[in-house]
Amino acid sequence: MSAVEKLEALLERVQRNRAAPRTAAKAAPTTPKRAPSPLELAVEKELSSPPAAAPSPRRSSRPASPPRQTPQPRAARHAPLSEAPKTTPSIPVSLAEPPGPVPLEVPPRQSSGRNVAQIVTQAEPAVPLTFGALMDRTLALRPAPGGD
Amino acid sequence: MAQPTFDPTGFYEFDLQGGHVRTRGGARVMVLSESVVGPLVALAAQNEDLTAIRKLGQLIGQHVLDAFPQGAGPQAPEPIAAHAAAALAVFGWGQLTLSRWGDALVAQLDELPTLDDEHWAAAALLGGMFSVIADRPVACVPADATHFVMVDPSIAQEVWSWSRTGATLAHIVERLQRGES
Repeated sequence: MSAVEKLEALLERVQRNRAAPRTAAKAAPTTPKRAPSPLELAVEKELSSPPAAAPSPRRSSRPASPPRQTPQPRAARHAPLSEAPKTTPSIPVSLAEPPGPVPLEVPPRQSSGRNVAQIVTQAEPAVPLTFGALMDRTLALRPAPGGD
Repeated sequence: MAQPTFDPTGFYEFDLQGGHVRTRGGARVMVLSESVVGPLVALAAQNEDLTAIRKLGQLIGQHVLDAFPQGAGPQAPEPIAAHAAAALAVFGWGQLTLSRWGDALVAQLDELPTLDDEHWAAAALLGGMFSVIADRPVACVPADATHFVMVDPSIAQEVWSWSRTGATLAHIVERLQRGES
């Protein structure tokens, strides 16, 4: 295909895009969108000025085909790639290694030598007692009144 | 200050020529077989006369007290319990551990052959020993075959009646409350 033929094909495509209604563009879901090439952009610019070339027989008989891209405002179509439509900004993910599990500082358990019954029956907090104090307490015990 | 530890080395002195066996404190002892002591103790318990057993307990308690010139009262319970256990073991009267059940002090004596059905012999031995150590009268009431609750002698009979009617150690302790000494 010669360069002239390529140019004519482009001209024909651009004219079709400009003339096609918006509803036709929405009915073509399978055609992937693509950014206009620099050549297409140049043709578009050329068409915006008074036409210089006569239309070729091929352009009038060719049926309208689904446009390759949705007609958009000129400003958006010529928007540089750096200003491409932004997606929803994602939450920045820290690249730092997430903190690992913090080891719980479990205080060392001190065995008191007592079983569960001893622990649950003791109403006072554990206080170191002397042997004499322990004897005082056990010898002070009396039968509870009314208990049997 | 380091707590004194019980040293069983040389606790017994054997005089083969004289036919004596003495303890470190100089008291003479006789080595008896379990099969001989058992019936003697059972007979004493049957007659409700356990004075000799209690006196043996007092002798053992004195051995414990000799290691603490300041007395046992100001000491922490652990070294007292350790000495008492070692002294009982040296005399062949089982393995002793002390524990607290609320305010009640409970002595557990394991590895002791059954000398009498009611466990009075062990109770008398422990009572004599702790009376000397605590420097006041102490009664050790059998709660079961191995556990003995330390109480004032004035309530020993009542606590003993609870045990005989099937009350467990936990029930016995639960029935006791702190009162006026």
